[in-house]
Amino acid sequence: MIFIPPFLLRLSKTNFIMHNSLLRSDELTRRRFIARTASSLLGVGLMPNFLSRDALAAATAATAAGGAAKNVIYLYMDGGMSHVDSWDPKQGEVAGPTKTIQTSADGMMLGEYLPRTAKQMHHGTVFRSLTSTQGAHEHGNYMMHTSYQMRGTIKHPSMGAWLAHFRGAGNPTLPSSVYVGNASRHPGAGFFSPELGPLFVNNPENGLKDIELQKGMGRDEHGARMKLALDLDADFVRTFGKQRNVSAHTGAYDGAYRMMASKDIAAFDLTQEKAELRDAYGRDPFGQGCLLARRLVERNVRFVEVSLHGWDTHAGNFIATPDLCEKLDRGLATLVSDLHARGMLKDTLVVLATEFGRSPKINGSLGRDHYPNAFSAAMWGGGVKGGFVFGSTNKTAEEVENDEITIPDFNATLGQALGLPLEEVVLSPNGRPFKLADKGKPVTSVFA
Amino acid sequence: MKLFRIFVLLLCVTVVPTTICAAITPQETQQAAAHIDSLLATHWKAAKVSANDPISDETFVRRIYLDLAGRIPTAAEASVFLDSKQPGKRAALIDSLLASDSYVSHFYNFWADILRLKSTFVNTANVVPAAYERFIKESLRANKPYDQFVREMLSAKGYAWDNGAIGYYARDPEMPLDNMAITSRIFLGTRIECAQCHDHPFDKWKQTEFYHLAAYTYGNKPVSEALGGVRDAFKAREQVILDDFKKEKAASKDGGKAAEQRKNERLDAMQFRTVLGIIRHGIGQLLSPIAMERKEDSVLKLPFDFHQGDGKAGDVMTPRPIFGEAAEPSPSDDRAEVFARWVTLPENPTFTKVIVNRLWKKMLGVALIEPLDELRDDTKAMVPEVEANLEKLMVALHYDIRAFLAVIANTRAYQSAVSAGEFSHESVWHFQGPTLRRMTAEQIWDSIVALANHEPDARDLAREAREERRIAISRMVCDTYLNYDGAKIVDLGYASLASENAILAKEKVAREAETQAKRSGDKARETELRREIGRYQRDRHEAYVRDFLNPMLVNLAQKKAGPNAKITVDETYKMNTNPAVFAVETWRKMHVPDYGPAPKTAAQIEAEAQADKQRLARLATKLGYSAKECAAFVAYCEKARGEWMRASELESPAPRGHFLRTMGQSDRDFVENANPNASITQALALMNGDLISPKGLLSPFSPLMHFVAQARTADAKVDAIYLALLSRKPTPHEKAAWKKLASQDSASPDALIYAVLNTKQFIFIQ
Repeated sequence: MIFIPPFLLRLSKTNFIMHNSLLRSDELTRRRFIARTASSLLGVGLMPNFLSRDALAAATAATAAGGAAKNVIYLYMDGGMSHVDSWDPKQGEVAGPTKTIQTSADGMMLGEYLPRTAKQMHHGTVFRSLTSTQGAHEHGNYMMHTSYQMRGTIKHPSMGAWLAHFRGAGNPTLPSSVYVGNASRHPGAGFFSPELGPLFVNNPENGLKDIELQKGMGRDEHGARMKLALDLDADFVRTFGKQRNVSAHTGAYDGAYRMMASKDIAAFDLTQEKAELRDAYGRDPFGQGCLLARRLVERNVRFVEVSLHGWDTHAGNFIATPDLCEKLDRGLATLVSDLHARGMLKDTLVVLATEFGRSPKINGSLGRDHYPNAFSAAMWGGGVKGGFVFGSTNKTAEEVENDEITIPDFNATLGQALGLPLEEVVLSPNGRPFKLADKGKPVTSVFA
Repeated sequence: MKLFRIFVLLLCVTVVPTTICAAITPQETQQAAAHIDSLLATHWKAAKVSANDPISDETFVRRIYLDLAGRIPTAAEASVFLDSKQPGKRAALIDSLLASDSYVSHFYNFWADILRLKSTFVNTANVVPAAYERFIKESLRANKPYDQFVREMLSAKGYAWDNGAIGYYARDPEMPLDNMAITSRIFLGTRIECAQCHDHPFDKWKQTEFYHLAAYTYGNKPVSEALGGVRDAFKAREQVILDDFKKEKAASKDGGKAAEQRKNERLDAMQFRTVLGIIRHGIGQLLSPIAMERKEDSVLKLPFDFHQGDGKAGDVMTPRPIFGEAAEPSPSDDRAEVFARWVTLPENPTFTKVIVNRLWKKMLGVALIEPLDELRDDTKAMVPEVEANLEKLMVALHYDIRAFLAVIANTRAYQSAVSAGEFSHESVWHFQGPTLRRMTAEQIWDSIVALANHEPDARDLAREAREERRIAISRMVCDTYLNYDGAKIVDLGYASLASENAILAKEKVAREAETQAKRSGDKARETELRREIGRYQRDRHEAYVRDFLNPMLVNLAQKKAGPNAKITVDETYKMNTNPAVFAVETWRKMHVPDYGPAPKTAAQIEAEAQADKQRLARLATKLGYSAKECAAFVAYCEKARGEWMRASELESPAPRGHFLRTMGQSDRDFVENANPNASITQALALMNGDLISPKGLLSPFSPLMHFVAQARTADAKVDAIYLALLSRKPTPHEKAAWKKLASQDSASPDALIYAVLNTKQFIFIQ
């Protein structure tokens, strides 16, 4: 006697012939299809111009405050920067040994470790009233980059990816966004196609990876080899050439050739800059990263993030913070003045952000611990007011006193500066609705 | 009639107790494959389409290696197969590949993408992902039945070293709802995550249904040892002071003012923070989750913002399945176990459907139901008869994945030319052959490994040993703590307090002086003080090892191996001297009997390295390299072992910027996030990177170049290159194209290899 599970019996009786789920041509499926292919067909940096929404954005942006910024240079202070020793200096016990200095903006004071930046504050706005509930690095970092809490079922796009999504790439032969730094985690393109994510550059002095021919290979030799590859594929292409992923392969190689031949690749060659200017930016990865950012933005790369690591100053805060500020100060101040001198500051927004502040109370190892309750960020150029302070904390820098804003509010302000549609709902591939700054509301009073 | 016979035959095997590979005989495999083909033939006839052409042995050998072993065949493997005159050689190759280490490696990558396997988890001790990876690989190696594999993950609890499957839940700490949404998607093909926050807008799922389902696993919590005994011991010490205070206060005449002050002084003198700091320093890794535990009293309630009509915020949700058999757990039941059983029942309407579609898609490029993880009530398979048959087959095979893959691989449908047309959501697909697929990132990488590494399928035993040691050490730390009374640990903490305080005081003075030096710009003094602070930190660690760690370890060793047991120190272990990881590093140097094999001595390590060098030298001789080339060959092999290990042996995911990531390996943050699309950076890496250069597989010592060098004539070299890269002979057109270039530019064979590796034929699976 053979035992037949009832399930099998039921299955064999079931009539399965009906329309198949694939034939549903509902809007969602179609949209997903487009989302997954349009950009991927074209690969990094090849978002075609017809996808650009510049014209549309310009038309809508003029009606609201903000919208003057075209490009962003996003300086990320990885590890949690001490607001008390920099953007929001205080007197008394919480200050520790840190002194306060005057800036080029009337009445605005900064911590003493940013003397060069202090002279550029007539170009910028300090936000002193950020607050967050994310007290762990990974979660805070994710929130600052995406406006959303970390989830297991979805990855949210970073701001550079949103910008690329709404505007397309600014330069047809360069990636739409670039990240300079060494953090192991970055939300990148999130649920968008990976091509909308940043190109990762570990060391700004090393140029673009694999952009040069192998050592010892001449252009002619390379050309002959690639011509041979084409000849060898002739039969294959005759049969399969029309398939999307096959033509995408062709497109990727064509794009690579264009990129290798592009004069804009010179953006990565920092040796083209005067030695004095390179020195002024600081001869460290952050300073040179800022310089690279300017060179990329000059060539219409719309979003460049430069990361400065090491702000997690649980011990010896008053040794590490001045050292880090020294690097930040050179890079940032030179960047702002350089952009200004070149007339680029009006449409380039320089943003300084971090995951949280540091405890005003100084611990036993003369360090400061994580402090999301109140912290600071800043912006320069791109249509924001110069010499402006938004919000304030109490006299110990522990509580926000005026104009409290959340991380999504700050990111909405960034989006507003770019004239991006904050309320536009974008569906992830599995059909969930998201906005670029979640429920964040922009702070319009910071726009000139 | 024939159909019925196979059906019976398949059911017969169900009564045989499951043993690996014995679920089905070769004849039955062929019959099951033929049955699928006959169902397809009927379907094709009705649809007025015909089968694609059968494929040549050349196409077959490359395809089957890539699909089952995850890489192209080496030239030697290809020729053995192509030259064989044995009847049934295809079926034999399928069986041998399914039984190989390569299969384990390849399907580990397959599951890593689905399960989002990572080498480190958020807020979790690293022992958990290490044990989880071991669990997945061992399950594949043992060909554990799929239903059992899933059941073990979904019901997992306990310590990581006892049960690596806890990684399934530990992967999403503090995110039990997200975890359930993923479980529902990957094992039940049901996309219910929208209903996490509101009733599903396009499907039937209600938010309450999601919550009922999530209630099964909501009690699964990552736990740390949390030093509960230590906390109790502290409380006891505190209580003594509080009790004294009560008495003194009652007896006092000043309203207890003096007593209050005395109490506060005594409490300060206890220095709870500092002592806890010492203890945390030592066994703090127990504070990170190392286990999963069930908290059956932890109930799931509807969220505060719940606003659907069928419940109200705060309502307690009982575990209830979303479809299929009833599975109400009784109060004494383990909810997660009830859930795991319900999910994996053959009667569950979607569990089997998802896995057969997954594996069919793995082999033929398109599932019978697309997308296979978004099943709805009206979802129908494109060829329903085949779909139904595959489900029956899977159940009859007791979810034996290898046996199931063998059946698919033996079908005429699989062994047909790829379809020239392209599947899209608008098309109807008839499965006349597989689709043209681009290799996954791992298949490309592993194929390059096969061309560059003489031992392409070698497991990274050194890494495995390190991971095993990591797991053993975590167990050792945990047992040390469990074997030692919390009160005694606190005693030890207090015994270390005096030296700790003395050192901390000195450190603080030095830090203040350092800040002064910094402010006055005295760089030399600052450096000097920085060194001094470093010395104090080392002093603290030494005191900690002497006063705190050693007594505990000796205690553990004696409990494990008698009063004369000794702890040994692994002198060969190179410690990371960063103070932040000193404690963990100290544990890594220690060995207690019963916690993994004793560490090797320096002499043993040296001897093994020498033996390995000799082995490689013998290989060099065997391959015909001269005595002069031998050292360079050995150096090449050692470099290959460092750089060109299979993807499954590397950290998961590979670091950003690694070739695997460039080629689209998943970041393992999200289910099936691998990306097979072409990109500019991929083209740049293949053309300009080091891999296809003399620094990579164009080295004269690579297996590829060795094979090409064996061919004497220019013509034979072309044949050799084609065999090694494409498992076939070049066509006359291809030969002509190459000869034209070779005659004009006197190009070397390197140029042909470079060109072929940059063709579409190389990267696409035909």
